Amino acid sequence: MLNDVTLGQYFPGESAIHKLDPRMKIIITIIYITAIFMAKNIYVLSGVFAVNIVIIALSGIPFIIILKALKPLAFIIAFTFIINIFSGEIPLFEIGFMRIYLDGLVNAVFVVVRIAGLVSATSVFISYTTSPAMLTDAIERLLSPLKKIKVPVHEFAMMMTLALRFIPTLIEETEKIINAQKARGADFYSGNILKRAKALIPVLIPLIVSAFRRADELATSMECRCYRVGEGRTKMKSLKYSAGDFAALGLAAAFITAIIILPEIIGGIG
Amino acid sequence: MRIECKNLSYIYGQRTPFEKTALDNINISIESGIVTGLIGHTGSGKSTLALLICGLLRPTSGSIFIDGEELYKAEKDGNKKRRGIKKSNRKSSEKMKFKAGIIFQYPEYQLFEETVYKDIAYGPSNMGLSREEIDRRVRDAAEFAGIDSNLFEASPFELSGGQRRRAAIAGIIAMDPPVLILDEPAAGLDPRGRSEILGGLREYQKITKKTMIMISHSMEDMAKYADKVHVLKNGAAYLYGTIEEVFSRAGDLKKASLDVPQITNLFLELGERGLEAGCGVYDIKKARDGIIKLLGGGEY
Repeated sequence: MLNDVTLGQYFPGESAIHKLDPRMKIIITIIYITAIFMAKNIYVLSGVFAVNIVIIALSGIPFIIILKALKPLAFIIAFTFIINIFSGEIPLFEIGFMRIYLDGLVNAVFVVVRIAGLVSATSVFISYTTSPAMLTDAIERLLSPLKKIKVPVHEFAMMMTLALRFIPTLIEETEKIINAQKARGADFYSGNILKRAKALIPVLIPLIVSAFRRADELATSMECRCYRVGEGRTKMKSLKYSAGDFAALGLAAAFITAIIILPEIIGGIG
Repeated sequence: MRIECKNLSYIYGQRTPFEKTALDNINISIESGIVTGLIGHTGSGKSTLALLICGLLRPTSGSIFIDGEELYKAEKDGNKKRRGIKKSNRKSSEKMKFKAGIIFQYPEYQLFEETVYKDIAYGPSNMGLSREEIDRRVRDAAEFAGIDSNLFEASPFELSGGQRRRAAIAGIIAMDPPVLILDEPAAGLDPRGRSEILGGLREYQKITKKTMIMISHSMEDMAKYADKVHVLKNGAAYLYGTIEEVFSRAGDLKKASLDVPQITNLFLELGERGLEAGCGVYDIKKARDGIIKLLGGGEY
């Protein structure tokens, strides 16, 4: 029931993508997303898409997993596709009373490729190949200039780390409680919505109670190890850019420049 | 109830990088009316097996027979006919509902009702029993588990840790299931609490003649409470027999990263040095008899 949650799901590995500095991964993801939306003609877009495939292949994450990440969006993708093909100016053909437009179809393909690219690139770069700890560390570092204007960046990052850390724990806990209540005859599947919602009470109450208990224990154990928010905290693993990171950034910069300039050149020739 | 597992396998996270085989083609049977221990190192598949027997997990392959009846067969056929997508998605079987009760580790985490009485009554009222019957069962179960009736109106969250665990155990016993599975219900207790809970449940089994499955990784507990023992190793059935039979194979147990009780170890070592006093020695009484025998017999 809960196994399909992909949020914060990290697949450990040794690929080139895994080894990139998480800060660089966030920057490159932003560059890539910009590229997706800069691509205005079909050749450029297919180029962007090809790069996406290369990235997925480099990361070593099975394609089936990427498809799973796209599954929740299937409805939105299908919906925008259908809406788009019915609007446009150049009629392609008619089925009964419905008219499908060529430019509409092109637009539809654009939108679908963009959504798929957006989701798969962010999941590969950010959720699948970056451990939650690395990710929050990277966000903290990237946002650290905001500390100057009194934004509690460290506290924010710590809360995020803890939240991500406890997602799997709470899922496991939920499964245990569901099993225990099922064994006591709880029925989560039959009856109307109201009855099913009521059936969740025996799961939610123990879950909330245990979440508070965990929070309490965690706070105590953090205090026991003298955790304090403030200046001068050092990291056990501090992030360091390597040559590879700059190479990747260089590639990303070249890529986006090409995407902006290429259509102009092609347009110039044509 | 006699339980048989045939070629039973269970794989967690199938077709993901986290795929892990918890049970690998296991063939075991659990005899009716006795306490059968399931013992194995962490990750040997004990708890998974318990969930499968309760019908809370659907096996990846293989089948489970309860008194000769296959647990998932009827549902499988039904699905073929009706193509009921919803039903086949269910991970659990309705057949074992109310037939197998399971007491998990830290059972107190399942308490949720406003009062202790209501919580114990949750299982029985799901069974659709009459109010009088529920009341009778709640009182019996509470008395057995050592919950005083003046605690009935208290909130379960006000109780002490020990009382909470007892209340949770009462909630399972009140359902009076023919098969009772104990998945280390004494986890995290001191030795005295352990023997109170496990000894009490063993007493209960003796009186009711229920089929009981006891999961533990403590050999001492097995020696004290189980009639027969299945040893699991890396998701496969490894050894089966009475306590004496299993403990006499200390070498094999060590291969499964398990230890025999210290007292058994002592007698095995004595045996190796030529003082043969039988190898099924696992408690003080047997040890005394063994030593007397070694000293030349006679009554003391």
